[in-house]
Amino acid sequence: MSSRPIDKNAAGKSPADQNPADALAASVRTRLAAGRSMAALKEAKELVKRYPGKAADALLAQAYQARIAELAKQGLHEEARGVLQIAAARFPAESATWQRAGVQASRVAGDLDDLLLAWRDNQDDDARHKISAELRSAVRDPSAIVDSAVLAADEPLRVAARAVQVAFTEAADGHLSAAAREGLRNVGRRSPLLPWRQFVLALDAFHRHDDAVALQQLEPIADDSGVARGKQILLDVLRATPLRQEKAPVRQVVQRVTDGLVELYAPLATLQHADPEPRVRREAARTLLLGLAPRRPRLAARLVSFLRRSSKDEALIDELDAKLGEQLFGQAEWARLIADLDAQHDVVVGLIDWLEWLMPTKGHDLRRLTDIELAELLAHMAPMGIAAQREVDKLLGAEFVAAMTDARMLDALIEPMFDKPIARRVETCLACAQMTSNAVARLRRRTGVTPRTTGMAQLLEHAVALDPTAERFALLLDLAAATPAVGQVFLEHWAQALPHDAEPLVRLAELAEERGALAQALDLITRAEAVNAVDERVRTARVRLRILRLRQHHKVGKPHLCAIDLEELAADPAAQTPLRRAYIVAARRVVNLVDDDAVRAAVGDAERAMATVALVRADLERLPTPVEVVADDMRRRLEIMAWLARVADVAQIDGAQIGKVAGAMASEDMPGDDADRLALCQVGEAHGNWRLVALAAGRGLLADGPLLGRFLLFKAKAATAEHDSARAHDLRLLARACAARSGDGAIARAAAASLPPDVEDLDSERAAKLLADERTRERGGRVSAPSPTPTVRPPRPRKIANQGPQLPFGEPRAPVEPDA
Amino acid sequence: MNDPWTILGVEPSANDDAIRAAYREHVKLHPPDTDAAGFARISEAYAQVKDPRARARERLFGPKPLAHIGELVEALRLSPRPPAGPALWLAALKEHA
Repeated sequence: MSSRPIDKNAAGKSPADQNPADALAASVRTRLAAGRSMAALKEAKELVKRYPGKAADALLAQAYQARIAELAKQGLHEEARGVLQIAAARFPAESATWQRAGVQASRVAGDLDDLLLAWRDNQDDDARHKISAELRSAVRDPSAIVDSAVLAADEPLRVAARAVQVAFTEAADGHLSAAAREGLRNVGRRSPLLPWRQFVLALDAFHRHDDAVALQQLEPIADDSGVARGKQILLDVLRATPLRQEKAPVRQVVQRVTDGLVELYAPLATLQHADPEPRVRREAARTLLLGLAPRRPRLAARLVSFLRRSSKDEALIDELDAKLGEQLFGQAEWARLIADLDAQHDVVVGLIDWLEWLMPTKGHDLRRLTDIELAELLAHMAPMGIAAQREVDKLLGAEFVAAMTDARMLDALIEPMFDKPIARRVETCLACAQMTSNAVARLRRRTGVTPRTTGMAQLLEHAVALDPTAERFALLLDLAAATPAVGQVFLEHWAQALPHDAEPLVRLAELAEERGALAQALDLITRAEAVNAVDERVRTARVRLRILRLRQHHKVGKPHLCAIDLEELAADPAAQTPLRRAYIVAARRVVNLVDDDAVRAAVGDAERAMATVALVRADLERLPTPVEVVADDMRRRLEIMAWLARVADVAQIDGAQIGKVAGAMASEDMPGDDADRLALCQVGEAHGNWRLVALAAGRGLLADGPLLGRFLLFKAKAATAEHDSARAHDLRLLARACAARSGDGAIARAAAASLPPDVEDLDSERAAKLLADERTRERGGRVSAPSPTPTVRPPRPRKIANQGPQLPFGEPRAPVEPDA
Repeated sequence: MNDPWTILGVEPSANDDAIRAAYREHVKLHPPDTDAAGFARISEAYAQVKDPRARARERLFGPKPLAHIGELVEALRLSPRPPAGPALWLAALKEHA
């Protein structure tokens, strides 16, 4: 027995010349210091056996204590209790030591009875304060207090512990109820369970992603408290600190609450580093992506697209593409991100990325997508495809064909040009066209649609068939604009697929209107009204169509239908603007002709109506172009122009015609009345044509009507424009006098405003003379040189009594002599 | 913006009913009166995927590429935090350093 080696390691460490008892004792101490209590106890027993003595006994007792503590730490409480009993039996003199060791072991095991007993029996504040501090460190599970028989059921500490236990269970399960949160109010600020309350609230905030609150609750928890371990775990997770060398329970908790992402914290921290070494960065990215891909594929795809942007990571991306490409290629977002990136440089390549994704050979065929998803994808691809189509047409249509003609053979062309960009582009475009053709063929099998369009528009046709939306129909119609018949079919599909959309009906009505099928157009508009009666396009289309039908009926000589049309038109709320009402009045006069005189009178009305139709259409369709006045002769043009000027905005009249009209006026009798002449003056003024103003105003002077003042003022403006300032001055004086006499205050004020402030009113004689001169000029006669009109008011003449009544610009009557 | 499916805790292939159920479940966990931020996050995610077309667009053309690595950290921070349960937590709390 004595020949049995004690311990190889200990023997090896002991010097050869050392006393064996001392060597063994030293070995025991070494092992105790290293925390190897089991080996220390075994050697201590051997020491006592071989070299009995007080020193050996003391060392053995020390080894027993260490062993008891370690077993308790490991949660082996039964074993600890057994060792404690052996030690107490062997060293009964050390009973105090074993009692302390027993208490410590019990606390570690969660038995806080000794502390709770002290808490219960000490009401002194100081004592309680000390016990409270010990409890704060010792409570690693609130059930130790809840289940203890030492405290009464209604003892506040036990009540608080129960509340903490309930709240902790709920928070650890992910949701802290309002009742449990309220229960935590039982835990006061001086309670030994305060750290537990803070930890429970932090855990709840953590699960709610309210990290600020979680950190706020964790911060005051002391590092020696019973929940300090929990505090550290939560802080590490919140700060994304890589997992340290942790024991299994801690690791399991962290793995669980991070959903396994804790493994990625270390590479993530490396990538966040300002400028890690390329090799380290590459390794971190690789680890991160390989860990992220199975858990968060969308996030992995985003990370890859981020890394692809960095030229530094090209080698890494090539490697990752090889490793992860197959794994992630089935993810739409992966393909999309890659396609988006490629499309920034080359739209054809971007399109090919998507087309590849749809290829059955990749194992991600169309059947994996829902109809809505596939439709979204095709609608996304169509504009890219159209851009790519232009590229294909450009390359294959011009340069390529030209090159083909020269080279005669495709191989002969491609071979020498292979290293040049053009050859690669051609190759890519051909591949794109081929893949599109394949994709369309497969789409046709799924949707059953035979495309009416060509090229990439076919993708959109399938998208519409899978999931019709107004936007897709509109885009499809834009693409099919070159072929109206196809557009008509799409519109009918649109109206059928989306019966609550008025847009296709309005568009169909416009097509019918273009064909002259007014009845059909009105029928479509009626249907559109049923869908959306307040739509502006529907309302204006209805008015426009009614006007057109009225014209059509009038043209074919059906006055009774015209009358019906007019009644409908008059009742239409959309036809209540002044201009449209004017049209209705004019049209009513045209269609209600009864005798020859009326026919003659109505010829002008008809032309006016025609012109108004143009105006109305321009108004309805919001056309910016001015209205062209259509008539055979100048007289009619003048008449229509004047009429238009009265009912419409003069700016809408075609200014180019005014010069011609003004030229013709000199030799034509001016038609119409003063209102027409005034309107022509306004037209001329609006367009800056002062010759027309002078002619129209001159005709107004000859008529000598109530608008004489206005015509004179227009005449004055025309004279000013012709730099005849003296005449303009006289005309303004005359206009002021005439307007004052006829009670036209607005013109009198306008004329006065353009005159110097101190100028004298004209006397009757002078006014009559000036007016007569103007009329003579207008008739083409010569006028004697005018005497200058005083510009400064002369001294007021003495008032003459019994002066006769003033006649308008006639000779003043001779003063009546006063009676003697 | 983080992945709405991740926030709601459903697969991208989930149908209307599953998404609505997940949303209701999360609203119970994050009621607006006690957790306004959580409720806003859940509501935003739900708004992104409740309409089938919006869902398809989000699935196919969803989040943009990362602008910087910090977005990844934020995305991970907003990832679900499954509960570990009281037993695991107590075992970890009793563990000595």
